[in-house]
Amino acid sequence: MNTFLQLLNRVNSRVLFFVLLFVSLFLIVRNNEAQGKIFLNSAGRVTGFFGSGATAIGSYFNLRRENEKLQHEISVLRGQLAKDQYNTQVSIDTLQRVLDSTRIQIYKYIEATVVNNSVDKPKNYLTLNRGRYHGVKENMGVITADGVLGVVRYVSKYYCIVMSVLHTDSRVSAQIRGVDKGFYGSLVWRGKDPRFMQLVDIPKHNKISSKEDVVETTGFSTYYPPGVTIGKVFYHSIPPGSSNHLIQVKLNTNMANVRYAQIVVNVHADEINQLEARAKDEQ
Amino acid sequence: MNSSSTLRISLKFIIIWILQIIVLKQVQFLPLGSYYYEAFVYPLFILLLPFGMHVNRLMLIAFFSGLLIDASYNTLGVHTASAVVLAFARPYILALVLPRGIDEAFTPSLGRLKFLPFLRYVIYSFLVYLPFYYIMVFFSHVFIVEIIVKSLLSFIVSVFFTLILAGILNGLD
Repeated sequence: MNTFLQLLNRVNSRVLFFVLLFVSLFLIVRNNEAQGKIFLNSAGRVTGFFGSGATAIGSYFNLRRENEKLQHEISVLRGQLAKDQYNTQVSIDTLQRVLDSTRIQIYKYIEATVVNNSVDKPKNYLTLNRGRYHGVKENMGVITADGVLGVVRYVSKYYCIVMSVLHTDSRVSAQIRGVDKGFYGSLVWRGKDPRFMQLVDIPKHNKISSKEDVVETTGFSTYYPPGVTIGKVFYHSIPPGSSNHLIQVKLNTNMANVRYAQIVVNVHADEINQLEARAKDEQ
Repeated sequence: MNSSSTLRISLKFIIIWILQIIVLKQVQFLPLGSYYYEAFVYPLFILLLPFGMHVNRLMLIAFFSGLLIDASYNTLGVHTASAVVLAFARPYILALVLPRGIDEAFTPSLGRLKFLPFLRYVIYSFLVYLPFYYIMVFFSHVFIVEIIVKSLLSFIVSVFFTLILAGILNGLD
């Protein structure tokens, strides 16, 4: 040990400084690249381990508020049952079965707690305390009581990492709620303000009347069920020379302190994807 | 460096780590507009290492303590790089705030430095640490405004909590 310390003191400080800095920078670049899939998976395990301990203590600080929120969330979910084609007379566990000759379950929900979260980077991820063991798979959508959260990217045994909608590569198929307004576009994030997202690709011949119009999911993907509220139109404009609206959407969810979420299990996802892959092959 | 000072240094790190990860990481400060920011007290650990410690050993300790913080923030490398930079800069900062000819075994602390020199020591250190940290977070000149504003906001809360923590840790020496 002493020999090591004596040797250490003889190394040129500047050289050591640049070596350590280079190692750190290498770690940063590897970590920030979405391709570092294997690494992120293992980092998720480490942070999941530390994060769940810290969250357990942190939860005590706002237990009361969380309880109220949870109650609210339960009532919201109950209200959604009929809309999502649930038969309200059976418990959630049996929903995978064919309920009667006309109704087949499409969406199931796995409740999860957020153990790690970020909103201040250009590419944000969340860690949830549900994983392969609970039936979570990659490419499942994640929603909260008041909005969408993201898509599951990496799954370990007990945790999963969700690519947040606050990620510069994230796109959510969204529309404006209303009978005569059934046009849709993509909801994207430019990497700055975690309270707002932008709804793009809506042609300008569509009229947007009210500022308080509700933005919701379309269901044109296997990630999110249709009709999940995302937020409200904050303002809209047509940039000069563009043929599309640029709509600023204020999110209902406060992404910075979200604690509870539901992972959406689309029972038909495999069937839809296989069918679409076949259609793609023919083209 | 004997075993009792090693023990003291480890104890300091545990206390600082607890405050950083268990408390400050969970706190959401009131954002200024869209600018969210965080408070960092963990650089204090590097500032409180003994004065006579060789800068090489300082950088190695900073490197591994930065890795531990990064593991909890899921930002592998970001705190590590910032901590190494701060450790490298520490002798230069100390030369600015300390009188000449000081004892090798001297350990900087709030009590030994008196309040004003210690405040200067903390301020200079965070002026090095925070801008570099946010540059590492954003990693692009496109976010120059974010880097500057967040550094300033974080600077205010970080110095505040660091001084409180330094007062608490003063009892350990």
